[in-house]
Amino acid sequence: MSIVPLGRRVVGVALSPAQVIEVLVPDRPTEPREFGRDLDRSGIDFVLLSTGPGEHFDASIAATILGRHTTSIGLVVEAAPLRDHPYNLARRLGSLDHLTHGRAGWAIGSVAARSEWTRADGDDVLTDAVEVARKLWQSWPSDTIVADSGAGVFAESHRIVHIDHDGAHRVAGPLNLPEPPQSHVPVLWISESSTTRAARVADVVIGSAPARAGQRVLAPWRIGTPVAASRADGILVSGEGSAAHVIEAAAAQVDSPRPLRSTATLRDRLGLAPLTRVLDDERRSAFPRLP
Amino acid sequence: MSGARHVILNVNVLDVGTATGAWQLDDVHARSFIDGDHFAEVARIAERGTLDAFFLADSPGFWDNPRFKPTRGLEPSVILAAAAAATQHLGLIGTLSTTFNDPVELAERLLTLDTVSGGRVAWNVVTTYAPPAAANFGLDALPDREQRYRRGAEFVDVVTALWRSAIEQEPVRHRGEFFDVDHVVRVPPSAQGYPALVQAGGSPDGRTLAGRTAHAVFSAELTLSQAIEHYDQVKAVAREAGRDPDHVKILPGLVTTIGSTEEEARARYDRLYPRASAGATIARLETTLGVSLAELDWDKPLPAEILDAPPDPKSYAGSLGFRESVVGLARERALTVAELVRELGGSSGHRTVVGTPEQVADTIEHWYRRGAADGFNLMPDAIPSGLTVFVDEVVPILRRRGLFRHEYAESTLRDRLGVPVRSADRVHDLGVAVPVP
Repeated sequence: MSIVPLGRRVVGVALSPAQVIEVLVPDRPTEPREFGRDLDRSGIDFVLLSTGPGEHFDASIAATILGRHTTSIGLVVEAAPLRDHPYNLARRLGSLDHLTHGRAGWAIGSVAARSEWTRADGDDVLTDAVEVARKLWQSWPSDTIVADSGAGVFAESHRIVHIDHDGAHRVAGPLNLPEPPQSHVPVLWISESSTTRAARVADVVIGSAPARAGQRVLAPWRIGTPVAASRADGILVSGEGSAAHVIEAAAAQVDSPRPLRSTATLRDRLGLAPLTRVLDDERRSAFPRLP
Repeated sequence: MSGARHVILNVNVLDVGTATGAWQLDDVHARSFIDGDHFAEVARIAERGTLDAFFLADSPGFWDNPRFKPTRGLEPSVILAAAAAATQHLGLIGTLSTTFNDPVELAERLLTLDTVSGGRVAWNVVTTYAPPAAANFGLDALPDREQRYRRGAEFVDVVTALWRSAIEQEPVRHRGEFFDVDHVVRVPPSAQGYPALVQAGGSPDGRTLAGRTAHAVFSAELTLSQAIEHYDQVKAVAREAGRDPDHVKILPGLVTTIGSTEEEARARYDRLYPRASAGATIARLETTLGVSLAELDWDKPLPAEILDAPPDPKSYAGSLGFRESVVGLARERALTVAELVRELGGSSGHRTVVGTPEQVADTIEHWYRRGAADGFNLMPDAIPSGLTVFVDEVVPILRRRGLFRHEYAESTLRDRLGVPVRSADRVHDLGVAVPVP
């Protein structure tokens, strides 16, 4: 099992590209700092920053700005590993995780598109990208950073390993970024279609049922429609109008807020179980010690 | 535009500093190099000193071994977003590779950063020459130098066209050697239109490209005479390409260790650049020169055949610009191998000043007035302490001498550099249309 009992409903809010622009464009009436405080106070578990073909901001930049104006809410970036090579995406999402002390998330949902980097088909590309990212995030283990002034050793770099991944993408690694606080940034599958392999490798799916056993499910809810009874673990709220309006509607859905540890990560909020290592011990060192 | 000309000063934020021992100082902790609060604080200090911009180097793959000091970690556009959130005027310049990125994705990400920051961004255009990077993107080896530069030139052309499409809302239709693009950018344009362009033009080709297309050039100059020569070269290229030479700013790196007295500065330098780091310096020098130093007599100058022979472009893994600087220094002062290693300890080919605030200000003023630089990319030995002392002690001296601003006047980076967006005139360069930036 990869999930733990939650005892409360997960509430996420998806901001449309127009709503993201409204929050972050300069000379807006509300400072992002104020918006960030409202987000934290609301008790909402995460905000998902969507992208799209219409007017939009890059979601990883938007998430970083909001991440610096918040301290507890999760920040989920919609990013397709199509123009973005999985190595670069793993680095940016890992960086967001470091900058927010473990509050980053990754949303993907489109299989019907081509990658600029590999000829493999959409489902393979997405599934493989998630696998690559998960390996890369563990290629520079956190506890290698020893900062031993006496010995003059900053990191036990001989324990940083290549991943030598050969799938739809060929990636040697390592990632030139230490293991993020969450080790595995949670992956949310946000497409309607849940019959793909990509849906099954995700940690969370948006829909009515899991794509595989042990997966977190969030039911989508459009503001202004009836809230359907469901056995989902929570809801993903979206709607028309201003960002503030959508946040307010989502906040109203939050169960009487049970204060979480101030160091709660997004994985904690989603009730995802702790991880095992995806890289075995036999990997090639990237910086072998000289004899 | 005000009549006063100022020295341009950026800070090159190499994590916790240039020096090998910088991570051991009390004002940083082991994870400062991956801590958003660290970078936000550094940005705030730079803004307090009214510096022009915060600059980040980068590569999509490991370059140095982190055994002895922190290496690049966080991705630069993410760091710059954190710096943007902490400041209001400071320019934000990030290095992103044309070898291992996609032009549409990069154009939209950098334009987003530019727009949300109020028009403060420039892109430092580089090709990737770090061999470990190729294997991260499915390649067995880096494309050769010529191919990387062709891809780079086309990449910049496409990105600039895409940024214009954000303003004009006309699709870009481009079919070239490397990219097939049919796209209009739907990211709102920024207060300065779109980002400025910077290049690290250290080689002859780099200087030519920079003279034609860049708004600023970051270079590595070890001697005044070489700096003046390269300065004149780039300005001449700009003139020949029909540009105002003042529209391309020449900014060499300047590594600093500052103390109240020269002795104090020397002591700090010896503490922060310990002898134990000679291994890293030697490795870097070997990559830069493309030869092993082990067989040489270290008490004699570098042999002429190493200094004179250009490296094989197919196998050379270093930076031609740094190589030129290092060779120039070795020749000019007839340095032995041992002296060269000591001289370069940590600086990798940049001018170094170890001394009092007045001595640092003197070097800046001297190079500026002699026509060797329009400003500098400051590389403090340790960050934040080395930057704080610069802001608190050197900036006031430069201000008193009328060389530096007392407060920010312009709000966008392009205005600060004097290069607002204009309508495109296309100039052809080796068959690739290069818009006048």
